Amino acid sequence: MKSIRFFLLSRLLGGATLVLAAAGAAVYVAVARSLQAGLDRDLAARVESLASVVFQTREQVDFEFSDQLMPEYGGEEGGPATPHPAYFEIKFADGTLLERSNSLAGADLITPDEVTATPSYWTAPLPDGRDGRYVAQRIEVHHVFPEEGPDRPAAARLVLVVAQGREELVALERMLLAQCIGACILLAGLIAALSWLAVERGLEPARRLAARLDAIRVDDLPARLEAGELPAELAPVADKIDALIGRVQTALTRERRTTADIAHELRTPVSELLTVSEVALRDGNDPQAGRVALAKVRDVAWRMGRSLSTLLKLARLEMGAERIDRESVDIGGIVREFLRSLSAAARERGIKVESDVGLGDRVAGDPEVLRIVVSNLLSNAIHYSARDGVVRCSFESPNGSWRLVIENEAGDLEPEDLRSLSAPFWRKDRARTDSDRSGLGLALSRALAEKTGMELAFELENRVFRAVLSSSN
Amino acid sequence: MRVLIVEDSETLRESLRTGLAREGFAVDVAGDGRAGLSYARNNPYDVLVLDLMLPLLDGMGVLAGLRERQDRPHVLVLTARDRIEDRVQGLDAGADDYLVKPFAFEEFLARVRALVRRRYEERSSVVTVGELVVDVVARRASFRGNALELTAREYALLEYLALRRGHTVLREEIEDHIYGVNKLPSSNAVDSAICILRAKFGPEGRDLVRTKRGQGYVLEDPAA
Repeated sequence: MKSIRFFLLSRLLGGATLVLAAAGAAVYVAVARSLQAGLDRDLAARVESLASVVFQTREQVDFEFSDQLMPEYGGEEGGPATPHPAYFEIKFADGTLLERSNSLAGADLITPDEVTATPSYWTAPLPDGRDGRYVAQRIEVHHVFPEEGPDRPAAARLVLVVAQGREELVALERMLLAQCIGACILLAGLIAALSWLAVERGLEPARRLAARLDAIRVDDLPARLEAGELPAELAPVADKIDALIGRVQTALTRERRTTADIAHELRTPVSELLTVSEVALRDGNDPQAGRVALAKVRDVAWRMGRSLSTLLKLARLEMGAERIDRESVDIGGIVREFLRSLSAAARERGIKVESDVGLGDRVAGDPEVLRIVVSNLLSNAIHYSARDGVVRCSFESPNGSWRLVIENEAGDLEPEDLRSLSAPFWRKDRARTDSDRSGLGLALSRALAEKTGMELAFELENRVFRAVLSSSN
Repeated sequence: MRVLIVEDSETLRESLRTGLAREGFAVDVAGDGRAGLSYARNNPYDVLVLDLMLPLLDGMGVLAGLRERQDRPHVLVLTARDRIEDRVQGLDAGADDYLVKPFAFEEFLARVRALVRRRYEERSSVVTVGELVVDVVARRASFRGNALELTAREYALLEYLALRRGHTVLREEIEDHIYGVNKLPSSNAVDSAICILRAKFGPEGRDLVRTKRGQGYVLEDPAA
């Protein structure tokens, strides 16, 4: 549908035109039939009046006709013809002519082969060439003399054919047709105008909605559309747009916060790079100081590179550009591998690690994703656990689902912190002193888990923090 | 001049310390706000370089802790927060200057020097005492038109005396402003440094720095 206005107007006008045409045709046909019925009644009356002037005696059948009373039949023989003459012919049943109108001037009228007591009507040209209407009826003579007694003869049967011009009827029919067409055109025009007004009025809320949408700026999204009172059909659309604005607002806020966080996170390492290099350059004669400065620059750049790689991976995940595989993965092997690689860090902090995850514990998932998530969770647990604390790993797989739980002493973590844990760059220490942690690990882990149909949840109970990685299929 | 740097990034903290020390500043450092406040309360710093996002006690807390102190140092806030409201908040809290990361070390140095001058109410970057001229921006000194060859520590001593010219400066004050807490000089280090300075002025300038027996030293024009 290219245009609602065009659709509504075309359908309304098309429908209205069809209805009007049908109604006009029906009116025309009905009135035309009525007019013809009137003409036929007139012809029947003529038959009746002609029949009334036929007399019968024992000897003959006579026709008492007065030219003066019915001048349309031609008046006296040889007299002037009327402009619109009528015609009749009366014959006996055997076809013998009893009488015919002077207007026929001796010509025959068309007589059907079979004539009954019921009048039959038809349309055919008149002897004078005009379009005419005929009626034929078999009658019995009304006036039979003597009226009573044994000598009364049987009433003769006659065939009456009467015809008259249809010009008045045709003129009336034409006028009627013209009036019907005119009325239809007029009504169609009126309906078109009213339809246009109705459609324009009906589309006004849509235009208002469009104008409101047009006025919205991406950098100043409203909380609600506020397009005024909307009809019931558009209200759900406005509600959906409001919901969409809400989602866009949330996404933009998250995007801006992430951008601000990234910029903020990069400021300190860039300051470090600048200051280390500038201070080293100011004292270019000290090779040892130069080497120390270069080592610092390398460390800072390496840290920044790690953060950028994680950010890039997050961005790819959000864009759906990261390829995800699904296969049977030895999660027990992954946990053991990372516990081994983190054992030095755990020893250094006096952390005791307990794990009941066994080799051969398998789950369905992407091996690379599981490695990243498990390594982040274990590394966080060991790093943020209180010194000399315990980190526990457990695995269970009931009824086709599975749960990997990694828990550690919560330190200063509060319940309200759980919501922020997977936000990019969030760290409990607002100063973000710990330059070894980018603050992106849990954000990446949760994004990866969601992308691969897993769930990563965080719990805090009795000062014990739990990261629960699970899947129900 | 004595500077305290309170910054949680070790790399940045140590680089700033190295850079400032090479310029002759006595530099102390602290990695968190609580230690920074303690240092600032117990030592006469000329400039405090303060990060805002600090562990244990943030920069605003440090500023609040120094508010009541009469002889508090001039504060240069060094932070990644670059919004106008952050700057306003920092300056309203008592900071004297604000530098957003990342920054050029030259600019940082210039701001520290400007704060030192402000502390001693010195508007000009060139201090003249008789025929002695000390350019605190170029960090050069000359006497009778001849440039003086000074080490960073000697220059720092001369600059401090020049900024306090006409005033008697106690030996303890010199120790406090020229040496950091971890580099306490030997008992006669200040006397030795003054002696070396006089020697570099030459015979005509020996009287520029006078000894006030039992009190300290004063830099003034002997002809005035």
